[in-house]
Amino acid sequence: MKTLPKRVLLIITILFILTSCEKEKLNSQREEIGSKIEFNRKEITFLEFQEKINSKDKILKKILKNRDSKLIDSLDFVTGIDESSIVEIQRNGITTYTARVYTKTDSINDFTNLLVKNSGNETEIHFFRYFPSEDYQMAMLNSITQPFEGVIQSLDKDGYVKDEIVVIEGETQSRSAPAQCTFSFDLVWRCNFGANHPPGYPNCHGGSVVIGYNVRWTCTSGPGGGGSNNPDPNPNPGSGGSGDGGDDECYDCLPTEPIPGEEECTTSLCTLDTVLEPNALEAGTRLWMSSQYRQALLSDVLDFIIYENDNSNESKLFSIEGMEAERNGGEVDFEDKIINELKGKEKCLDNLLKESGNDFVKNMIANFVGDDSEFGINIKSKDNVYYTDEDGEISEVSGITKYSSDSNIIKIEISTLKANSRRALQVTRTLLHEYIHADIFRKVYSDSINSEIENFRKTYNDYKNTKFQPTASHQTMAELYLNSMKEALKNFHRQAMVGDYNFLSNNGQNNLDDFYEAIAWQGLRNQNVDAWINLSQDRKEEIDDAYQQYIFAATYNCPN
Amino acid sequence: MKNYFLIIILLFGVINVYSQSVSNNLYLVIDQKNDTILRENPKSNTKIEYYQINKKKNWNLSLRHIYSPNYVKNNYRYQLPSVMVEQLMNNGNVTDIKTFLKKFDKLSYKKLSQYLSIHYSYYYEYLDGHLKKTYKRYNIFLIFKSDLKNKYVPCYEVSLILSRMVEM
Repeated sequence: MKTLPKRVLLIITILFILTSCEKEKLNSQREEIGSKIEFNRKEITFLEFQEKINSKDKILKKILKNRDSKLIDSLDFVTGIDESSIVEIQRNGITTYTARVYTKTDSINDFTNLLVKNSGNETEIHFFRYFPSEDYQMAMLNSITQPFEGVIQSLDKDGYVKDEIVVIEGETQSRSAPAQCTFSFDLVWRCNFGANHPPGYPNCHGGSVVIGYNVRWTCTSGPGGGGSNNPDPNPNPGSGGSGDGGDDECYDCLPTEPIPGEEECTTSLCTLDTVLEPNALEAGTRLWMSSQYRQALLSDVLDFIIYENDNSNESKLFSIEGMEAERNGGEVDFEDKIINELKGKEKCLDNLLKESGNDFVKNMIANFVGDDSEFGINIKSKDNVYYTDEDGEISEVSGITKYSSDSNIIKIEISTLKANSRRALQVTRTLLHEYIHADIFRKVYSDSINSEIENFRKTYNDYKNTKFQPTASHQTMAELYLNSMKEALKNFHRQAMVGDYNFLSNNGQNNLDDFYEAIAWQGLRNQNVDAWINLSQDRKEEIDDAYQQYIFAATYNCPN
Repeated sequence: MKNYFLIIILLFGVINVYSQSVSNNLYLVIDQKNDTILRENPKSNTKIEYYQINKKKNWNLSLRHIYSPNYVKNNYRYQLPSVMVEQLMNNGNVTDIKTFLKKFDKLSYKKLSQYLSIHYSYYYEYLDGHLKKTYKRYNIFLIFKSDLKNKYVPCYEVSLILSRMVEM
């Protein structure tokens, strides 16, 4: 019995020693890991990003000048940046910045990150495109954290693939692209409790999440070896091809939003993916919609499609165009089915026309507004607008109007170049002319059956069926709309452009009626319409004289 | 005067019977599974719509079967015995809609408008009170592929709407 306490004491002592060793081992492991993974990640604003980056790189300078997906340059690979996804990562004394960017070659199942690395006075930029596997997408949709699976490409500034790796369960499997630089990939983990632990670490009971990538290049010299024999004229990314293979590291971040899948949705973005046809929304626009700043817009879109229009195809098409318009800085009214992407002078005049237009203008535009309207309008500015005639001849024009039966949105494009070089009243005439084309399309294709539409179609069809030279639309416009257009211009000039009107009319002493008619005829008289041909020569000369008398004194500017 | 009036009525009758003769009509077969057919909304006056877009040639063609209560210009809807449809097939009056529209691919808007007018249109004449009126109709009907198995095949007359896609 005396030996029993001694034995118990021995066992307890051994256990204590063993436990202490285990703790010491764990502590040393923690310290070792802690020293390896000094990882700080924080989200920064676009303004902070601008301040922190001081680069002479042309592409980066363009990106930094243009916020939030504004088109940078039609020739550039990168077309915009998502300002809500900029992250600063600091690790082992290296600071990198990563942000999602829109590119010309985005597709629905991939996303591209810009990665900027500040090292001393030099700034490197890299692009990575990620193609997550279906399993990984499903896991994200179900909020299951798992190592990245898929393909990662390293792209150059023009979007060409420099290197490509396949990643399965967070480990590099293969490299398919021939390159002088080998490309490796590791995940950076963080324990959900905040400490920096790798997955499976005993104290990380809450599980680990991936918070970044450790992307590493090891560049070697070309055949023959030697640092001076680097065959890569542009060694970025990588260390520049030192002879023995210099290493470089960058850190990138995964998106936190789910990627589209077919599982039941828990987010609005996923619902949108389910509602729309696959690939219906341009990938860059979808990415743009994923931002937290677009939640209100996303709700409007879903309400519009699901609750207000019972998932109709028309509402989906309008929504797609609406989201793309919003991304390009336009204004969308889902209730009235109006998309307005006008800019500058033409936008100013269009606003004035809607505010101060006479009943003809207001009634015409009202036909496209409201729940009962069959058609919506998408009006936008374009730098240049071209029209191709039936012989394939292309000419630059001040505006065009488009309709096709696969959509209930009538599209109007106004040339910014032409608008800027023309008098304000002429630009107003262009807007009216195109709205009238839209109204004609509406009446031709309307499902409504009423006397107004019946009478209109009779005139339109008479021209279509018997006289082929001018378009039926222009013939009809000249016959049924010209006088209304003249009155609308007159009213607009008096109400909205008072200074110009007083100047041209000498404070109301000169009658400008012929001048307004002359402007209304622009865009029609050269189309050989019957109504112009049938005017007497004297009348034509009166109209021409009035035009010549006043047009050169009319203002270019939109009164603000 | 009464005789004169009767002659006019008889004349209208003859013209209409001739123009609506089954052997003059073109029957376009549409496949509900594969072809895009619009207007499934029962409230719509257009009960069936099939369209063809030609961006290169700048035209938009819509074939619509319109039927609305209280409307005087509704399209015809009738049923033909399947035996008759077989005869029409043998005579070349029945064709697949895609095959029919395919031949318009290279036609300009003007040429297409002329072609449809010359080959398939006629002026439907009617009396509105004491006034003689006309409007243009087309001898074109839609039939659904799935209906071809039936003893009687429903045929839907269509109105043709043609316009340019882009106006300047």
